Amino acid sequence: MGNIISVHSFRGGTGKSNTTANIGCSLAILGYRVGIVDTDIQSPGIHVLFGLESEDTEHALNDYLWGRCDITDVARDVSHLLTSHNQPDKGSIFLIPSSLKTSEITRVLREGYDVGLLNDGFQQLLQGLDLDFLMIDTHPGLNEETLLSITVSDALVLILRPDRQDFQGTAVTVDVARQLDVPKMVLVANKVPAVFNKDSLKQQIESTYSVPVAGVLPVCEEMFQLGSSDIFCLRYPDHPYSLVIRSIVQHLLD
Amino acid sequence: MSDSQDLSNGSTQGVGLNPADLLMLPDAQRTILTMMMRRQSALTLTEIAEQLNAPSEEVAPVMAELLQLGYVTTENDTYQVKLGRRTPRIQSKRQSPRVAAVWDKLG
Repeated sequence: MGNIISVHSFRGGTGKSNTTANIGCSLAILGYRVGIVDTDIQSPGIHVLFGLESEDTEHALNDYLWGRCDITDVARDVSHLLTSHNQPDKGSIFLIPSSLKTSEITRVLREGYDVGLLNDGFQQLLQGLDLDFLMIDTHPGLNEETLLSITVSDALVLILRPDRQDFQGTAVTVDVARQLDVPKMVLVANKVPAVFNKDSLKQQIESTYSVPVAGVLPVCEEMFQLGSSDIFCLRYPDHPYSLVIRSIVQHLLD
Repeated sequence: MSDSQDLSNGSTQGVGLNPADLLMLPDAQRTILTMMMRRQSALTLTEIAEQLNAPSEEVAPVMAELLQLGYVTTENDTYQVKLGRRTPRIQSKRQSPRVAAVWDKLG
């Protein structure tokens, strides 16, 4: 059975989806079979990074939650992105998007859904797609999806920016993850300006939370220019950002 | 092993476990539930005790509590976590007609 990795941050705008997509693709380049679930049902977005428009997806996670299809029917094989960037196609990557339809999002807010079904879905994806890793891109803050994802995860990646609000919120999430006995937890500092001393920041974060920092990702102009139109580490495999992503992947594999 | 049983008011008690309930539970109950959720498969009392490195006699009363709360179900001597529904964010009964009309328009 494969491993579940949740990528989370307490606050929005930290770069969760970008980090998830880049870690996922880096794992796939190494030959692993990777699934990425967008459980950010209230504000989905990771599909954009994989070049999918809302009308491209026949089914979304919402359809599975309403019993309209199997969750494996929602999975889109986006492995072609690896070969289109001249990467080896040893591994595979699947995306399980959430719906961008207003009516689907509001239905979740109005009616709720069976949380057990979501949990069953994670397992069905691991088995049905024979995944080595299932990555969960979560909604920021704490809600049912987040708490479920953290609870069932083998590893939790917490993203924070060098920002006081992020620091305080991360303390809450670290506390929750400890209460939920997450087997492995790492922090990733993202959008770190070049003027920061990365080693010093890493030490400061590690001493504050007593959690290892798997990587310090620099803020980079190219990321803004890309504007979620591609997976950064595929487009710029030798960029310092991509090198840090690879070291985060190695940290998760260790 | 069992802490005092602190049943959270207003929880999904009896209709399955809401993940948010986990944070309100005594340590002994939460430890069992998180382990079972991560393992996924149905487990016997002996298997649960082995996973926790605890004597079965200590685990049994906690399982009875979880069963009573509706957070686990039992079948053929095995236990499985029963998850409930995600809490709706919009309580239609409390909505003004104007707000309801907005949501109807959206959905």
